[in-house]
Amino acid sequence: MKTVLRLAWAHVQDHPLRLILTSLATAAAAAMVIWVVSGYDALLTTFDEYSNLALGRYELSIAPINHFSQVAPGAIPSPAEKFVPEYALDYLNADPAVRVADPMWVPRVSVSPYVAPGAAAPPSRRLPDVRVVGTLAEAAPFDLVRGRWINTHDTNKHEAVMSASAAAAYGTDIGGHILLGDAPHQTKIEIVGLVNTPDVEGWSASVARSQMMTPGIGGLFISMPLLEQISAQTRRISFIGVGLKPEADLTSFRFQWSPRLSQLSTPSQFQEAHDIEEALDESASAENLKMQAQTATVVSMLAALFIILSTLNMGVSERVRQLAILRAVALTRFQIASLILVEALLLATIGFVVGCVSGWVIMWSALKSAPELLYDGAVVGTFSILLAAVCAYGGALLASLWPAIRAMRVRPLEAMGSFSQEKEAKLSRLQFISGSALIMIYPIIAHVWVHHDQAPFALYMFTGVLTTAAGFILWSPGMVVLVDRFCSPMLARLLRIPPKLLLSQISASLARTVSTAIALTIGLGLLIAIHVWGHSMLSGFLPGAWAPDALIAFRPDGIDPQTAKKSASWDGVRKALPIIVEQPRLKQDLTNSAKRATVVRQDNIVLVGVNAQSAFDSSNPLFQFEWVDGHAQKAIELLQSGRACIVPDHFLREAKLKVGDSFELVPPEKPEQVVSYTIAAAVKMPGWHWQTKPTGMRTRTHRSAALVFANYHQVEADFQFKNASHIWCNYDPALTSPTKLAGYAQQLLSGAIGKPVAIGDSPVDQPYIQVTTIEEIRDIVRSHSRQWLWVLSRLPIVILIITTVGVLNALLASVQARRWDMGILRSLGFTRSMLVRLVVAEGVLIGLVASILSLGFGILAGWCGAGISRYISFFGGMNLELIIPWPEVLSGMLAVILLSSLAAAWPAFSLGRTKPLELLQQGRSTF
Amino acid sequence: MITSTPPPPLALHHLVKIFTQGSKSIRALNGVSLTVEPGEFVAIMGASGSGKSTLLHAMAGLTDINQGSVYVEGQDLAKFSDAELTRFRRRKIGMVFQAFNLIPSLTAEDNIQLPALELKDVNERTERVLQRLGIHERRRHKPDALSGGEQQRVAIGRALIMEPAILLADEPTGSLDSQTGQDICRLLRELSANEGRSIVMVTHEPRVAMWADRVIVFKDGICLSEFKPEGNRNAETIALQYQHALQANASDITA
Repeated sequence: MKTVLRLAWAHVQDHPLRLILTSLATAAAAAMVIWVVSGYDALLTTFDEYSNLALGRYELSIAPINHFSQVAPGAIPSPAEKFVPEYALDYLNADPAVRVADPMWVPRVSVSPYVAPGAAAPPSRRLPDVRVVGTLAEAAPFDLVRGRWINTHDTNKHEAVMSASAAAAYGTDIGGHILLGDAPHQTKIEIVGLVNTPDVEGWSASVARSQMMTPGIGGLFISMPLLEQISAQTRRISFIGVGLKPEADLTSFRFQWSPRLSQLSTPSQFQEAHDIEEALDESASAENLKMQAQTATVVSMLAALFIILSTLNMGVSERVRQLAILRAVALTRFQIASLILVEALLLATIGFVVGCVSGWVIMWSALKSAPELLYDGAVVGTFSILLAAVCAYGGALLASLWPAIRAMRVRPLEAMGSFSQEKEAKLSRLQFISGSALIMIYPIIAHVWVHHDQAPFALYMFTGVLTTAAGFILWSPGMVVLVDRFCSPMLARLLRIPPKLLLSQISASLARTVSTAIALTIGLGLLIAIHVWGHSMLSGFLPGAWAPDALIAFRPDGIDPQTAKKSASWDGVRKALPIIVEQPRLKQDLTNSAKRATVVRQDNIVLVGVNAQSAFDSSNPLFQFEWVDGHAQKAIELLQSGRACIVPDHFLREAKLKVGDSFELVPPEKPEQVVSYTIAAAVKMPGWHWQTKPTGMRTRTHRSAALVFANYHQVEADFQFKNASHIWCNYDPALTSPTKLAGYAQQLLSGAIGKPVAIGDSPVDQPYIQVTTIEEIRDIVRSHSRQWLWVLSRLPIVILIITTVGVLNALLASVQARRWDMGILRSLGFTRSMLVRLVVAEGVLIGLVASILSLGFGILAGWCGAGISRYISFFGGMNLELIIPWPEVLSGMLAVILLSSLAAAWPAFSLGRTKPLELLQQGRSTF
Repeated sequence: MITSTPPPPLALHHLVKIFTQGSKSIRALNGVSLTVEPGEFVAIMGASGSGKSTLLHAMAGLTDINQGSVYVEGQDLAKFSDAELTRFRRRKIGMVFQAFNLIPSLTAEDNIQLPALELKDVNERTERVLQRLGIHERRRHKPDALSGGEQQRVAIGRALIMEPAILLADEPTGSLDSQTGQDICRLLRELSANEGRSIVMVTHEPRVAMWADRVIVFKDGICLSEFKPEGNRNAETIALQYQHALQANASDITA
């Protein structure tokens, strides 16, 4: 072992630059892990603190078991709501150990700041999510900061107690007001007290907290009867806050009650602080961050792996003769392998230590100067350090395998011969076929097989990504040869280098080129995959050409439909139709939303009543649909003759219905009068989801399964509408504008109701109109997706920069190995500049290989990832279209080629500066 | 009292080594038998392609043989596993190469110590070797700071530090100028004569072979003949004797 250690140390001392560069790259990868994982450690710390305070003055809370609905990996689930049965409360109150059992109800109710008439609207800002809790408790669950507790039995008193931090965010205080509910049915509530609810830091923690049924969830407490009034729902029990008498024993109470709770009609469970902490740690938010942490670790480890692999491989290739001598005179095969392992561990140790320190320093600086970069907070905990170690040491150990095997295969006899050369690289048919077979696996899994909800998607994704990566790795030597053969001559001509000098440069050192290119591919391939996945998923959300140009909402009471028809004669308007919009529940849960909720699996639809003939007539339709099943004319006839409707094509798939089938709707105002609608046709409706979101078309609840069209009069009759809620129109932008349309609409409504009408959001009680153009919606969608994709892209971009160090390492080694050749060329009259261009060209070629591999891997992985997301993501279910965002992709590829060229600058420069004789002498002394 | 004779440092019995190139087979060694006595200095002399280097490789266990056996201090090399053979070679066989083959990142002292680092008395051994070879002053220099002769001395030191049963030298003067080469040969001669080292040296040069106790003429994979240079340590004489041996063989073939 002493021999091995001494040799390893001597070798790294001999190549200090390579040691520094490789260690730096490993350190950067480890620091990246610290950066990402610190958010998870911060979350756990927050949960730890929060869970100790979340129960307030109660010892326990009782909530239904598995409150969260089916957790879709990588998404925040929309909870399928469960409630504690009312009779459980009676049982608890009958127990002599119970001091108090306060039921609490947490329905989804919108909270908005109140703007007094005449007051200026507050500046637009991001407000925290405030959950409204209905309660019958006689005392506040948390310490009152100021004011008093609410009267929980008098529904005439519209009062609430608010969390002190939420009140500060909303700019209100005791005596101030807040609005509950959605326009136009909002209720003004007075704040009579402020409480100290436990807060959490960071977005993920806030999301997790909002799904944990404890008193700590409350941002606003109002009386249960008042909440029933506001929400127009009968009260339910989301959880019960239980306080015990001082003499009661908590453990035996739990022991006695646990079996009884699990046998309730909705099985329920106790939550103490440690249970809350455990549940939070296992929450979707935590799981998401944990997944991000693990992903960052794996990706960083891969980057470290390939950089260290490249370095170790170069070390073996350069030292074949040395290794042969060592085999001849001193070392066994195992000791030779240990030598490589020790070198790898040395690189890992330096990388880990430097990475942890620099990661901590960077994070500390960010917290001080740019805390918005760390939106989940940052704490360097055990998990961060552990994953950084996995990244550094895991990568190094895996990287050492192949070089160790190569080193072990060196025969002592090779010490006698001349310097061994790498065999000439050739295209291998076997590698191509095996690679192709592996690459085919993921598309089959993602797009050909049809999966059920319980399929092992994580395994499928892991298998798919692994086989795709393995396939491209097998293809990579062939790619190097092809790039060398076809691109080297062109590049040589471009850079005015004799083509024969450049040809075979990268394929002559195949192992080095392949490992360097793969290192670059990790970052760029991931980046392209993210963008292809994101844009392909987006295709279902971006409103398509079917959508009319603008939607005008008339609030709060709509507009007389006959008056609304006058909009067709506005200047510049090509076509305009009044519509009515309702959001009824589906009587049967056709899409199985209770089992797994997604954007297309919900228990309600948005139903639009419109003049079918004008809307869908093929000569000049308002909606330019692509008819998937059924025909426009037939659909119009069916809509006009009764309860028929047009649905988006994915609704048929999710509900397992077909054209001609019927489904039942529950009118919100008269739930006993269920109505049945027959599906007349199915159309492609990309982007209906976002069409309905900012336009106020989701009148009852914030999620919906589909946008469905039916005849105006039928909807009017079935759902008791008097007025049209909106006008949908197409217009000529050369002749009019959204501002002008808003003005026309304002005049129209004002004239119809005889009152002043505002444009845009207004103080309570004043009617207003709101114009939303389709381009605005598309901009919102694009802006959201750009933001989200940017957040996801940060990791691969950083990895890409880190792996550029690998390119630098490879080129330095390449230049070192060819010093004698370069000396000969200089002696024969080739200029410095030509040699510099030669080295830069090699960098460009490596970048080109990486770009092509990344393009293939990225498109495939992204497209297949989108395919699997249909089954597991909350946002899956919409129709998918492969979209390759070429500007982003080409920018990435160009950036990689540029980075590789820049990496070549230093070795090229150092080569250019060296005199020919020095090159000859240095080259010959290499052993 | 029966005293057992210690086995010879090196004994080869009917070695055959065949190289295959496509459909062609080449008998590099064709039934070679040879015994080296303790303290003997043997030179194997032959032209390029005669198989002498292959013979040396077989002696060191660096190459497998098709037939025959190699015994070093009575141990049959064929019975060892790869790891056992490596450890045996480290302890019992010292090797000197034409190209020196020092590790460039280690100092002269470190290179010498390489096979012996696990020994407790490595430092004492190193001192002795450095003094004996006259390179004590250069111990901390790396190979690229040493002359050719100094590098070869370091290589010899590395070969000797474990006090091996046999020292095998493959064209040890091939990369040296004539004067330095003669100095190395003189050193090997002294090691053999004064310290009783058993040495086998492969060379094609008469002025190198003349330093040996016995010269074996090697051609086409067989030992043609052998002669002793003692009293005739003269390059021309050796060259003549070598030519005689070759001609005698050629006549036999013709006859």
